[in-house]
Amino acid sequence: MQKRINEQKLPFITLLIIVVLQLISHASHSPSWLIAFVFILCIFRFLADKNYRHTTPFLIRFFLVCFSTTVFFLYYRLDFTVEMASSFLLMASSLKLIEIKTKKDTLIFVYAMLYLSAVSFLFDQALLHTLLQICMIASCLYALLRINTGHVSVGYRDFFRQQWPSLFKALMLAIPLVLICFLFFPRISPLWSIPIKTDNAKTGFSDRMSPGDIASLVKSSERAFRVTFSGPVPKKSELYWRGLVLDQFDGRVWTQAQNSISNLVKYKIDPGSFYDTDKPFYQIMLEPHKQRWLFALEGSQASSSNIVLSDMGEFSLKTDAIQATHYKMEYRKDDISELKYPSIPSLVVLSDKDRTDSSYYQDLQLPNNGTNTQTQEYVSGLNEKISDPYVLLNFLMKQFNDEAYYYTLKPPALGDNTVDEFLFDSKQGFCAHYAGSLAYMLRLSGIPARVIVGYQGGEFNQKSEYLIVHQFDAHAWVEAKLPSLGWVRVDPTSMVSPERILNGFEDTMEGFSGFLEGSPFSSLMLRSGMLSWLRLRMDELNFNWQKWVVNYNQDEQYGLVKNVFGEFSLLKIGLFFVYCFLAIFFGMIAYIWLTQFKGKYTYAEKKYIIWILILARFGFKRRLGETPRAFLRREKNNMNGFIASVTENKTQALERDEYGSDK
Amino acid sequence: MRQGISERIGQWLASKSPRAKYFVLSRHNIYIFPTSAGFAFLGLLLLMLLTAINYQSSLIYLFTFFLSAIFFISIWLCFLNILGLEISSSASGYCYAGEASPYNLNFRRENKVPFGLSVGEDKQNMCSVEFVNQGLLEFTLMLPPSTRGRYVLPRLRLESRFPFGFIVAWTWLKIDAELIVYPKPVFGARRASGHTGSDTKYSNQKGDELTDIKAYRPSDPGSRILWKKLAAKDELVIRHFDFVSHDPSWLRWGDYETGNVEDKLSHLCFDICRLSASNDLFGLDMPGKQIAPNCGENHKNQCLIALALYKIVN
Repeated sequence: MQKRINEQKLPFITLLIIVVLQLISHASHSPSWLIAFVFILCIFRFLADKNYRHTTPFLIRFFLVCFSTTVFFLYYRLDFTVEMASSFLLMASSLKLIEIKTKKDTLIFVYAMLYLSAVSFLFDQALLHTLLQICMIASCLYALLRINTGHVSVGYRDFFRQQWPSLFKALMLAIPLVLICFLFFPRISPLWSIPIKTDNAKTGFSDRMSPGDIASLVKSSERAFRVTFSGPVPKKSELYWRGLVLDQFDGRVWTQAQNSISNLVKYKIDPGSFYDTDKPFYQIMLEPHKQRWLFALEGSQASSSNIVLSDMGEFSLKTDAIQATHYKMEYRKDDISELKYPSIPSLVVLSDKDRTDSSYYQDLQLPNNGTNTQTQEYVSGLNEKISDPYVLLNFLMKQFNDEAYYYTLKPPALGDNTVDEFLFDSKQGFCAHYAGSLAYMLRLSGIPARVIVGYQGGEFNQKSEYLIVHQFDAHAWVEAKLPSLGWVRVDPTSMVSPERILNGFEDTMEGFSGFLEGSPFSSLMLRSGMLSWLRLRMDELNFNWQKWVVNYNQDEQYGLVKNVFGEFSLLKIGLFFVYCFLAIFFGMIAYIWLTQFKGKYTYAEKKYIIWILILARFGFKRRLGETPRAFLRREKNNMNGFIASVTENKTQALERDEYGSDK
Repeated sequence: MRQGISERIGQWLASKSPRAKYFVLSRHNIYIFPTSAGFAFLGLLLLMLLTAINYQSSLIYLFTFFLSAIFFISIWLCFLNILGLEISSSASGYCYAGEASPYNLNFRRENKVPFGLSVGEDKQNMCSVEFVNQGLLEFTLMLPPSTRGRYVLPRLRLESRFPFGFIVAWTWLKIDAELIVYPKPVFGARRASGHTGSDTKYSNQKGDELTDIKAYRPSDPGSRILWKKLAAKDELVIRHFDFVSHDPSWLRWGDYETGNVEDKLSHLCFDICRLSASNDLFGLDMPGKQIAPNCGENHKNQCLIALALYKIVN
């Protein structure tokens, strides 16, 4: 009957479930040795339980701690990343597993697990992952419930089976509270800057491009980002998602020049300042690529506060996109000069792509290591014949069409003089080859030029009206500055393979060897029938989840508050919170007050009383102290048939309930 | 000064909760506050909120708010768990000095079973109370040993940390009952005295035991059943004494050699218990009180109470 309270311990299976759920949540970014190690810890816990001991012997524990810390240090060195921090927390809290003894130990373990569960949202924000974390919360709450319920003679399993519906119902009250807090709790900017460095292992291009780099992306059908347009979706051939500007060439690799990187921040956008605009816009849901750069169409203006605009019209995030990131762009379609230059079909005149003066000559930089001499000679020969830059550009573009150049995903390997070998020998290449060599040739002839990497095209989801841009849509093209037109965009790939731009990459490449060979169950393979339908629905679900929940940020909140309260003021939000909590508080008091009357009357009594109240409205009043039977006898003849029969029934039911033998 | 304030608060609390034999837990007498685990949880929530703010993660916000809401609701659940619990207690009891004294508490709760109840004198010594079925529960609380005299029941703490241990709801039970603590029974040699002659009594008893055997009747005390006979001959018989009526023994204050009052009381207690167990007729003679010879449980208690309250003022 009497039992000390502090000696309650969780059964092994509960601990195991919590640990396994946690491992699944963190599997994507934890080293595999750590996962194996945690399972070994589980075995030690199991053995300790089996031998009716609380903890593993001290020496074994000491050894395990030393061993794991050493391996951890050797694995990560002192390279501080978010992954390392979460792995360390996972390791430390799992080590607690082998010495859980008192209630306090259990609490520390469960709390650490809850925090880890929160941290796992930094790495994965999918709907499925969220469901997993809900299971995690449920099992942690079960653990807490178990150690606080005291001893239950029926056994915890039966106890829980009986009790969970009422507990669940009570916890469902959390939903309105969570909604209010989620929508209206002021979202503020980070309090202090934190190192959000992550391992660079995500698919997507890097800030350097050598020939063949983008071809490797083509093997991936992963999603790069999704776009919704407020108006009609532009034609596929106009969807040039400008990403990174590469302006430094070393004869083989295009990279970002150092001074361009340092010039990054031009201006910032205040939260909500662009919210209520009636201009057409599009919203991009960027998959985490763990970098800062963003993708935007020509003629876009930033309309989210998490974006900064840099030199050369490059947009970037304030912090690395370690989670799905949402941003909004105003889109002025008329800004794109749709002047057609029939000789160069892909040419588009751009605006606002100039550099600040200090780095003006970066776009004319040339490698001085003596490579690609054949190209240099070829271009200087051309320069003598053609003096007008526009004509030169036209000639160079035409060359790609007229000569026997091939668009292929499996270009032959190139040596040191990449441009030479490509232009004059192999003549087979992917967009990176064409863009790189064109920009180099333009620079050689004194025309400022740079390589742009980004995406081109996208897959349109008809039902929910958004565009999915995949990794295999990755593309590279050229921007050049012509004296007559200013900065223009040209796409040499369109000269070689116009279908690539008109129809999109997927249609063009179907059947090509090399395309999507890294992913056997890629989206393309699932194109047909049910699977295709299912894939798009799943994508839609995740998209909406990301759009409405994951990316609810300062800007969205600003818009919502403005809609609800008329203007954005912290005072109003504060008052709203106070009102909500008062309402909930008084609701609770009212509920407690009402429960006092619960159980006072039986069901039959309640029904009878209600009926008597109704009858009183018709003028049949029961006298004080009159029994139901006597009341019925007295008034029966005055009532009409229906009322009399109902009263008869209710009286009988009451009598059966009160005096019946079966009770 | 600090002491003064806490004393005053104690007095105020005492005036709020008078002693009673019957309690119903309601909003007037349930106190509720976060536990240390609850404060740790709040700290955890704060940490999560900081993580959410610094990493601008909407889902961590959501996660934090969900756990906060659960914390908030658990306040309510904890309160409702013990609301309406009725506690009553038996009027009084007795025990011997130096041994843990059992004290019965009756719990009653309509419709619902409260979980995680524990009761005790202070936070360090709590015993868990388990409701086996719906409705009634009799719970025996072992109180710590105390000294001879009246033992006023301490203020008892009844608490529950159900469901998640973030919140503790407790109440103070000031039960209007007292225990009489008898002296500790200790054997003490008695001086030979003309009046008593315990030796003869013992021989008498032994002699009679063999001869006077009567068949058992339902009204006979169970302590006189000769179980050996039952085992040997399968007949239920009792020993029958006659001597009690003609030789009442008196337990006198002066019979004991020791001069210490408490020792004397202990010895008297021992002898009362012994004589009572053998169903002898005895009387008690002590300063200020004389109890006429008699036998039976009531008589024994009367004598022991006289010992317990010797020279003890209310």
